[in-house]
Amino acid sequence: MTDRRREEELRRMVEAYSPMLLRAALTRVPTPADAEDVVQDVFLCVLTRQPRFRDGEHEKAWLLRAALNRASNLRRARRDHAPLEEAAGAAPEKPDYGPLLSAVRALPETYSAVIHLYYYEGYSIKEIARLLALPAPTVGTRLARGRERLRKLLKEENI
Amino acid sequence: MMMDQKEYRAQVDAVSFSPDFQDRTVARLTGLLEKGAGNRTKRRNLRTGLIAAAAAAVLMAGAYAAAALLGPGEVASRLGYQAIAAALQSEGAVTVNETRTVGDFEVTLMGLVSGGGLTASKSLDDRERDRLVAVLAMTPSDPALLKDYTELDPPLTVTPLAEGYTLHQVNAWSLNACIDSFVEDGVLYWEIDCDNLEPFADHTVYLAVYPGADLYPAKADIFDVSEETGAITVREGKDAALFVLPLDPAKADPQKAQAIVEGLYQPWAHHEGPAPSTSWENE
Repeated sequence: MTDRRREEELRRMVEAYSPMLLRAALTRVPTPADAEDVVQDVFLCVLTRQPRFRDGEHEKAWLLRAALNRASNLRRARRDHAPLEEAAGAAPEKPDYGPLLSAVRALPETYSAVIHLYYYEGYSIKEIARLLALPAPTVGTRLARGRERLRKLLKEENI
Repeated sequence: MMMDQKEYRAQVDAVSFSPDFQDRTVARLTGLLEKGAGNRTKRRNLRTGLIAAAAAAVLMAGAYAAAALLGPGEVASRLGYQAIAAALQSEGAVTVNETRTVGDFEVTLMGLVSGGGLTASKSLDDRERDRLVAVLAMTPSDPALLKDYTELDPPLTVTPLAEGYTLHQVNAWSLNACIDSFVEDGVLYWEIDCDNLEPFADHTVYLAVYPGADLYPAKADIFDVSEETGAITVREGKDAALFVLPLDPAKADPQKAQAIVEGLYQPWAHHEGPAPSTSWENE
């Protein structure tokens, strides 16, 4: 593939997948800027690793899982460094998200991704299973338990 | 407030990302491409020339004879990864030089080394990790097999596997493998680096090589994993090689291994259960 074609291919991927990846990453990282860092890093990986995609579905799944994994790593790093940043007065300002989004973000990662993909992106349980390489019943269970936790969270917050 | 899908979508849509995010990202990627990130252009030219030279040599000699292989450090150096080249030539590197036949290729695992930031990846995330680098040489029975070689459709796939872990848990994808390659003198050289495998060293850890380009060993239907012992074997009638990686068991860290597996693969327990309804409403 020529550099020109690779550039076009990368542009296509950035345009096609950025919105979905940014939203997914945001369920795990503190700020939109963090989500942007995560998604840029994912595309950087595509550039340097040149993963081989079987088809569009494989491509989307790869990107989504890469974004979620990197978002988890960043979230852990932020959590580990938070006390130091706060002590130095350098902690990033946390945006004021809506209560539902805040509740989804407060869920364990095991649930938030499934909840988000289902309720925002509109994927079916089968589609989420394929995207995340999980058995469909597992996705169903995660969705049910995630919803239960959400209900409790929102009740506690009187929402 | 009503708990509904519409409200959730509205709240997500209200989050403001940088309006120029896509343009900035494309510009950054394009800039890196121009600077040679991935360095494909240079190597492709090198490959083309070398393949042509190899083909000409075959025509002149009437027979193909594999040239002496490059060393692992030379491979990394040819690819432009000087830190990896130095590590592969250091005391910490392990020379393996074990050869197996996989399909139409003689595959030699030449050597490996572990260490921080040893990666062909430009990703900061990868550069901050401990990595394992392995170098392989793949000599085809017929040099024409490499005539149309492209990294996007390689003849063989290389992936780490670890006994005691499923094929889903430890593989090239889940351990963030990065691969680079080139052809020289009719030999395909591969550098593969992935997250450090030493934490898994209390188990037998393999570098598996199998025909085709399916990155997911579980889907390739080539390996069997014993439910009782966790042992990994090549399925009868299938074509693959399992190179045992000579890792130091003293460096095993089962807790870290588990954390790696849980962190990189979706750490979701596999429970059966009913599918939920499709709305948050009516709860």
